[in-house]
Amino acid sequence: MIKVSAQFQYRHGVQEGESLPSLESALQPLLKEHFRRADRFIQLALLGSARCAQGQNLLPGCGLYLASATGPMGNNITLQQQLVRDRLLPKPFNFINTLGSSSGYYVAKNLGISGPNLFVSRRQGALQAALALAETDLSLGLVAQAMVGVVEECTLPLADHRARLGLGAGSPAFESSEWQLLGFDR
Amino acid sequence: MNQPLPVYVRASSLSCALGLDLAQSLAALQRGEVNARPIELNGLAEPVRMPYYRIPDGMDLFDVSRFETWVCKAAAAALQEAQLSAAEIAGLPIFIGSSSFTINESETLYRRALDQDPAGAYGLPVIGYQQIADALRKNLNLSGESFAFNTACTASANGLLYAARMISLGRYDQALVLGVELANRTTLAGFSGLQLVADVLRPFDLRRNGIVLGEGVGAVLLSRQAPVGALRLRGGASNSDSFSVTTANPDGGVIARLLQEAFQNSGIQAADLRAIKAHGTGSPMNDTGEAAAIHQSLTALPPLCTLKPYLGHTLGACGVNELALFGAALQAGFLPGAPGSTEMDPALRILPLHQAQAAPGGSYLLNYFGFGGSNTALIVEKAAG
Repeated sequence: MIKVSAQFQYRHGVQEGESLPSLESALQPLLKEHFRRADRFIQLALLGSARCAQGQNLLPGCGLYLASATGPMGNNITLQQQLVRDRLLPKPFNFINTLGSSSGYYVAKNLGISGPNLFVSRRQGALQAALALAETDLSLGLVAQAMVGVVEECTLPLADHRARLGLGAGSPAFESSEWQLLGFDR
Repeated sequence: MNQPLPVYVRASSLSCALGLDLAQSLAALQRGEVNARPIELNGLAEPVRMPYYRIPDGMDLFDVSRFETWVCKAAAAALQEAQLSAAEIAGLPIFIGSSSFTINESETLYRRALDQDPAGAYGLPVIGYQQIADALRKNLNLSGESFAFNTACTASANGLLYAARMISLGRYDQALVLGVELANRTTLAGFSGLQLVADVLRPFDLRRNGIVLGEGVGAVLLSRQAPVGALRLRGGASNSDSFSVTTANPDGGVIARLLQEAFQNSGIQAADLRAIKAHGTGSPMNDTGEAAAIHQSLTALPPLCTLKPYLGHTLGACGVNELALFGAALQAGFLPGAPGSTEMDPALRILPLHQAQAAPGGSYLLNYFGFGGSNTALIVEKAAG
């Protein structure tokens, strides 16, 4: 029977006029190395996954199933401003970090795992999508552990963020990184 | 656990540089056509020029309507071939793999907004992950669960793998898997900035010096039931390598482990392979890693095929696109040869087929690797006789 071995939730409501809190000090003791190219989305993924895995015995073949409704928005906005507004070639790491799976690379590297590493999106039910993939691999006996996370980024200014997501003025805005480690009940 | 159920390729479709549909593309493959043409991105501070494999639809390359046209055409063609009922279509789960989704639309809308109201314009006006599923729902009444994979160049290969696994567990009877990659400025300028683009694609060749990008949209309908003789998707494996975010480990170790897992999960031995459809990007490091893994995993090398000299690198869509085309070639009885790769690299000790040869019944390995250390391998089986 599949059980939740550990879980961690980071969720921060972003208020009007507020800047996003730095994650550096929270991350620093959790990282095996400094990831210089980590953008906000990657930082959120690293923070949540590392806190969830703290004190757990992760097997090298542990699978990673990362989901998001909107993915790495901040980096994609930066790249599109460079390319479309400023008419510049994208910077290499901005381009690479447009991929949702770049965050999974850093998480796997930090946790020392090398099993399946998936990034999946669904606007409604991103967590369910990731859980379905993880449960499939667990059920087939292909992995013994599964790190399942949902990461959502908030970008500033909030008015643009809300317009991008089709949210009304004054709608609550937040960033989050919510993780579970799944395994088998022995 | 019950014995996993067999999964078959019941229908497939493809629109790519070789042709507007799979039949056209297969015929062009048999003729050995290579349709890369030079393109140029205008208006950037630095010029971006490169060869490109585009779908020959005569439309402006960045016309935003191309996305819905080609996605729906690919899906509809597969559904028509499979002859599903309206109820089956309505509940069909959709697995989508893409690197860029609908970023072209986002770029275009942002450009228009900057032209009309610079102060009110904001970057990334459209987030594309859900748009493909939404377009299929709107136009074809496909309303099942959707999974949008964004694992770089393994995205639609992972879509195939996980759709097959869920069918094999009995979660679904069938699933539609799409690979979608259409021209956009982010991808073209991004790869240009990475200096990974070559003039000619020469996988595994001594002279290889990079990739050539392409666009293509494919669809594969996987099912527990299929006509006699249909290709079977036996299984595969997916793993990750933290060597580099952009490059496969040239020692091939993690990919070799992937191949062993793919053989094991599919119930075959390495010696059972009739041929390998390589990932074969033509980039120096990635071909080195793939060749090393093949040598570590196989004592006797079967024929090696590459499709990117015909399709270009269709990035996240290449899993579905290359399965659709390779599968069609297998069913037509041939392993495609490829132009461009004729000089053996002594460090790799491997070259793809140059001339087509007969494709016997048996098991075939399809490799896919991507940024972020993402590796996926699939095993398909052609029926004997």
